[in-house]
Amino acid sequence: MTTRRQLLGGFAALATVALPAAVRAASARVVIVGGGFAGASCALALRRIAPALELAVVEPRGTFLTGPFSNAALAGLIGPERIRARPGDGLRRHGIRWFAQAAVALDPVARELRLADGRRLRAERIVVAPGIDFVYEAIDGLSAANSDAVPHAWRIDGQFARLRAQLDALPDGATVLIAAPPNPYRCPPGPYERASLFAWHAQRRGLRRRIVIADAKDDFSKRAAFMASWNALYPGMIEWWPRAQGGAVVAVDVAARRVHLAGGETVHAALLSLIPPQRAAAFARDADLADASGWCPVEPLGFESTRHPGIHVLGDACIAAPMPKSAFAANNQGKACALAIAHRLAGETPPAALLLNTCYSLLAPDYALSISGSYRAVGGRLNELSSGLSPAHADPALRELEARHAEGWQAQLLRDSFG
Amino acid sequence: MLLRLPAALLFGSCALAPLPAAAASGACPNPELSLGCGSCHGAAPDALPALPRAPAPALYARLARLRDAPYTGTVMPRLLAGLDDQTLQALAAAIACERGGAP
Ligand SMILES: Cc1cc2nc3c(=O)[nH]c(=O)nc-3n(C[C@H](O)[C@H](O)[C@H](O)COP(=O)(O)OP(=O)(O)OC[C@H]3O[C@@H](n4cnc5c(N)ncnc54)[C@H](O)[C@@H]3O)c2cc1C
Repeated sequence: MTTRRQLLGGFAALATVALPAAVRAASARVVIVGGGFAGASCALALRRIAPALELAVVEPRGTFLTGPFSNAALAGLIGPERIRARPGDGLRRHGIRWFAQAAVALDPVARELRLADGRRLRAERIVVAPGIDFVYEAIDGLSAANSDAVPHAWRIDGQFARLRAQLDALPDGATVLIAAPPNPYRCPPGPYERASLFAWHAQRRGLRRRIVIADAKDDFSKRAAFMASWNALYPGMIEWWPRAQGGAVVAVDVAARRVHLAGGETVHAALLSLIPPQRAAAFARDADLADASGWCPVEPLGFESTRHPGIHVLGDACIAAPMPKSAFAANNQGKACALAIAHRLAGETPPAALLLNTCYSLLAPDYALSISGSYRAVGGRLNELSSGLSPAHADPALRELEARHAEGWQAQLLRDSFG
Repeated sequence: MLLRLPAALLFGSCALAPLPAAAASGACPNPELSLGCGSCHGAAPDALPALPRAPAPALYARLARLRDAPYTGTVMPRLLAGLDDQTLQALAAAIACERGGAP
């Protein structure tokens, strides 16, 4: 595939190429469903790139808690205000119309949306960024209705306060079980960061605690570094039971707080945090944007649906492998999609964006691990250009330095995404 | 309470200023390369150091140093590792323009 830049030749030409006037002047209506990291980033970027566009965002939540650092907020390491987003404020400040309600249906061929209040919106381009849903029925005995008692808090929202209250009420010597889901899912290092900070929560109070991670996988993000760090920080407190050892949770008795594992074992725990398998949010699946995997296939330049042209799917809902399902990836995809939409509306082929991801996991206030990668579309596929993670064994000074970087990263990611 | 960071690993911090006119009007080159920078480097309190205001060749030299530094375990060398010199020059040109440094 030949990109615009390759056609223009070397660096000397590049430095003089700005956005074509037609791209800047694109005037059309673009509607975005979902004002999370992906949708809000895309809206703000579209406003900057093509100011003449008529933009609207459909998002029912005026304020919500966000994922990055939510485990730290659960454990009381930071206050919840540090992870709060108010997408409506930023959107209005930038003159972007906000419909504070849910979109209930999308006709992907007519490109028409129906909102909860019955209103219909047509647009030249529609961006769908609704996040994830949970496949509760994959664990026997678990349902959307009883999940609150064994909270995953993986969409933060109402379960966040429940999980925090359960954690704070744990007595000395309690067993905690965290069920980690199979791939792919939102925030690959998240369950292991949660186990770490639940251990910090106990250590800080001088309580004994046993934390079991019952895993549906045999490996996880930053595993070597996590396990070496658990030995150093919380010796003997965290156990990881991989799938190969029968660790996957197959059934739960919510009332009795008891899980049954694939290996035949039964575990009773004072606190169960069952993170179910995941798929794209219902809105995207109902609009015929998902394939048999439950996730939405897209092309890699502008994250346009390969099933319905003119509809873009961003963030956790789309298949962007090798990018992980993270807030940072969603933010970068939002910007790349905005650039692509402006080009397409002007009849131009969009340039291949350089997409980045960095995720920090906090294991203690002065101790963080990171993973990062860079990605770019080559030959119709999203390729990983580079990747790397914190060393498995390192000086405490490096862990502390990464913890300070993590604080800066979280604060700016929130600001960059929500304005 | 930022630790002192190894000088070679960080962009220097510099005063924040409104976006230069060139960036705001879309006249800056290669926006597709620089779009990830602002996810970490920006105006949030506690943000990592802002991108420096400097001419493109100086930025290129700094980016190349970051990319080629011996591995120390922080993120910038990993993020730049896959970029060839030409792409890094184009990225430097984008950042220089967006930050209002000379081309
Ligand atoms: C415990 C935990 C820790 C995490 N830590 C990190 C981290 O350290 N770093 C990181 O990068 N990521 C982290 N994440 C992941 C991050 O939160 C997600 O990847 C990110 O939120 C994905 O963004 P999104 O825009 O795709 O979805 P979301 O942020 O979920 O946004 C989707 C939005 O769509 C709205 N919506 C849904 N349906 C409709 C509809 N029908 N109509 C209108 N609106 C609708 C929802 O209300 C929601 O606001 C973490 C997640 C968790 C759970």
